[in-house]
Amino acid sequence: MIDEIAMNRRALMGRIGLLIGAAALPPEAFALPKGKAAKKFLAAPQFATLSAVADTVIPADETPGAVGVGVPRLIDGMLVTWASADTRGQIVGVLAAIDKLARDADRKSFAALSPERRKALLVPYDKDAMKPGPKPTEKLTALQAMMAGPPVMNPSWVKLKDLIITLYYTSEVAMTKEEIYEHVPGKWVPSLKITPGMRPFASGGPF
Amino acid sequence: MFDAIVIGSGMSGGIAAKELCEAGLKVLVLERGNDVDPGKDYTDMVMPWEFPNAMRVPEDEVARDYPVQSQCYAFSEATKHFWVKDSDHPYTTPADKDFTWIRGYHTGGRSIMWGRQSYRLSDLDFEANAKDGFGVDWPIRYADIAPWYDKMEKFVGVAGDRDGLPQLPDGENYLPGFELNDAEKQFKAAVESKWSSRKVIIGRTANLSVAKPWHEELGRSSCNNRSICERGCSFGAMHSSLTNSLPAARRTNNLTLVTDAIVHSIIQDPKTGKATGVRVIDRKTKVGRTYEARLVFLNASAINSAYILLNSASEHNPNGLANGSDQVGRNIMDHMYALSTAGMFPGPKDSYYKGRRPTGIYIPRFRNYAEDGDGYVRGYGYQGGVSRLGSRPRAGMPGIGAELKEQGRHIGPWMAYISGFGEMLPNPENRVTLEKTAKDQWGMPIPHIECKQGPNEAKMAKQILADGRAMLEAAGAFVVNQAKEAGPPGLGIHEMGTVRMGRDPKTSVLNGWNQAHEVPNLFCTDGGAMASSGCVNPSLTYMALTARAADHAVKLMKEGAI
Repeated sequence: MIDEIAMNRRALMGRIGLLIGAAALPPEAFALPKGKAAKKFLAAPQFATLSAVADTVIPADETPGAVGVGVPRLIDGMLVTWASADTRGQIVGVLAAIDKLARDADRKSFAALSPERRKALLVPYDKDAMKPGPKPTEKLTALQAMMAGPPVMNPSWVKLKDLIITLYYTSEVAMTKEEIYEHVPGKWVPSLKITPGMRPFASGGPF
Repeated sequence: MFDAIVIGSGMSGGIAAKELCEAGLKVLVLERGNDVDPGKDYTDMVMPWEFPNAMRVPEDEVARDYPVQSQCYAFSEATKHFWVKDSDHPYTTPADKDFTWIRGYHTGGRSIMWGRQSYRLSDLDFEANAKDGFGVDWPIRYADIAPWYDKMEKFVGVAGDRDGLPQLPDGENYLPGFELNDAEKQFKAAVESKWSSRKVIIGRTANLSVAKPWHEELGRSSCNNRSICERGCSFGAMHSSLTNSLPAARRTNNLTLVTDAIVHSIIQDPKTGKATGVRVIDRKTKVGRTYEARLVFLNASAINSAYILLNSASEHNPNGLANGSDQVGRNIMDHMYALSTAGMFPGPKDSYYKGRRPTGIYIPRFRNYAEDGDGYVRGYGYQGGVSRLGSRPRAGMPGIGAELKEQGRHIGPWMAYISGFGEMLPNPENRVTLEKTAKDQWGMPIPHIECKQGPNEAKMAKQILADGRAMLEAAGAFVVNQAKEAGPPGLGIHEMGTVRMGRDPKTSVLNGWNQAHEVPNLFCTDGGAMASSGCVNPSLTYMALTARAADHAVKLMKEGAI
């Protein structure tokens, strides 16, 4: 059975490889975010499903994946400190649906499946979720409607996926390894030639 | 007894305080909210990953306390403390007339979170009411205010180019404008080659591209291109009342700032007609008290300034203070906003940029100026930019796993977006009044706001979208997203017009010096004073009107006229 510790170990192995090639980076750069929500909402099996889902959405490769930067723990915390009862219900519902997908297909929990098998199940689930859905019942402002994009069939999955992606890409590891983040850029450089392998600059605000 | 009381410490109140203090007056500034300590309250040095909840405000808290404020783009966990709790500060609207009233009650007001775009009105704007008959004629023209724009631009520090456009006059004291990126230069060339009447320029912004000695004297330094200005700028690179105007006032030793003082009303001596003082309610203790002064500047922001005048009703002024015209609270205008068009742009493939420039591009007004409008009066400008689309994977698109992660590693394609800001006409039916029975926790009547865009706005909105699409497409962009209509009034956050200037005391509240026709030592110089809205961001105009009015008020005091 896969759990966060096991996946952290795998992420750690990846990091060691990375450290060999990137000695200039301080070890703290790879530390898990500190001081964030410690309260837990999910039961252990639900947390295992969440960890497996997060790992499938953003796996570790030469950089840590979602589990490596602590996304499941952060989501579990946000279910206590941020989410409304409705959102909590949606997230729990999605985790149950994905776990059921695995049990129906393979008679195993989603967390117990191999990474390849998890991905094989989640890719069509993700694709189906994006099909056009009914219009939301809540009234959106013109700006909100434009930002939200077209309604999809499974908004609860989009909500969970959005949390995974957002928390991953606002982690220190992703913002400094997947992207380039300079908190104080200094000069504005209006023209910069793109060089091969150059990563995108990350933003810390709405713009 | 103070020489002057300034009601409100925000964008215009800070300038009133500065100008009056520098003229030697002992000035009391009354701020209804709490004080702000940049060292403690700014979050601009917090790294993105250090915020709890990925910078999101808890959902139940948003629904309970911030249903209106949370609609502003700048609202987040990083800035939450700069917005009022809607639950603490209720207002009512008719069911079919949404008004999104965005507020910040603290020292500095909304000047801490403002958008910083700083443009001048021109005679195209000051003459508009007289020419087409909507509203009342402005009692001033561009030449009256131009020197005060100069003074304010120098003080706040406006970065911009001198573009030589009569409808958007240049400043004498601009700091170097931020440069367009390569894709924006391409967009500019495409638009300007197709339409000689349309220009694409860099947005003029109150960020110090290069700090001058007079900025540094006040502890300010050059912009570091972070574009997280709404969290408060510890470098002091953006203008705010908190870190620029009020410190300038404070160094004269003439300033007294009292926070947590909610202004209830202005007291008028019925014999002399002059204002003698201001009643306040302490926000924390809810106990009332009175301050006296020889001069009162009303800078509470458009809706609250009208509110205070209405709430100052007395036996002698049953409709409110300075309201013989019955125009106090009427003519609310807010720029039409959210009229956005976005498209994928065929910009230079190997070009990028570095830093987060604190401004975008601007397309000044061309309709009902160099080009006719399609069945409406007045006009609009666009704000926007051409930037590399964030490469971060988006949850609403199919894709997971290694492919998703790989996608995030590539610099995204160019996207062009422009958003129209349209002029709204003054309409006396768009107004704020006081609820007759409903009171807030301080026993003050709850404001009732009725405001709706009219047929002129609807026709203009159509052409804003059509022109937006045409310009993007002319530059080779593939439009992927476009709004259908303007958002309801309020969220342009340019509400104005409720205490309007004019030539005739029968139809306006203030004269050409922002002086109340009926109360000679009362001046209102916030957005309330605006006789028309123009289509440019208005804060710079409020500041210029304030400096001009303060200068005049001091002269009148010295002459013994007030």
